[in-house]
Amino acid sequence: MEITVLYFGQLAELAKKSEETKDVFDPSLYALYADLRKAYNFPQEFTQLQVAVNHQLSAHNTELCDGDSVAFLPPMTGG
Amino acid sequence: MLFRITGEIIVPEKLRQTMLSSSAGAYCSYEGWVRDHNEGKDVNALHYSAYRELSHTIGCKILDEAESKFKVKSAIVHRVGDLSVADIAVWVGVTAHHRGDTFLACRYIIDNIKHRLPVWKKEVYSNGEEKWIENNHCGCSDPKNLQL
Repeated sequence: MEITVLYFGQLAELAKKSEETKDVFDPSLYALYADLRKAYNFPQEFTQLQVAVNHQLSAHNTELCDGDSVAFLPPMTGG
Repeated sequence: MLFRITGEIIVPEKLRQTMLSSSAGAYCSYEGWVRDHNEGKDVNALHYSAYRELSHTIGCKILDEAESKFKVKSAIVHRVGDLSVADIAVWVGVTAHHRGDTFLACRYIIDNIKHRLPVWKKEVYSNGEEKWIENNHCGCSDPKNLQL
């Protein structure tokens, strides 16, 4: 299935992109993040991040569906 | 209720005008400024990045919570992009019939912006180094404001 991954802040800087499309077979967010972390040397553990699926905060055990967008979110530091 | 992420300079006087109401007896605002130091380092600039779609959802939720809890009218404007020392990074405005609710709501909103709004900042230091800030836990937030 095809997933759009969105990157923000530090993760966008490390990935050198704001989004990309990935073909994935495993619907778990953990597996997707593990691949991305290895590819881009993201410093955060999966459990340190919040996750947004289709622009909504989502549980870590959410299963991905074809066409979903996903963003892994480090702790917020606005303000 | 107004929530906005902007790349433009924040002008509080203009935003204050949008809050005027004949039924309001009190107005309270908060401005977050870019300061020139953090944790012993000289800061030259900040860079802010936002997840705009989710920021809008969460920003409006924070305002809705504040308006229900404190009976106020409220607004948030958060700047993104490259900011210099003394620039305003975030503005919060609150009006109510009486002053007590405006103080409480203003603090509720900024405490929750700090912890929940999907915005991230990177510090740029005078020696040329840069660092993404890893948390906003300076101890300023009222813990009661963060219990949802």
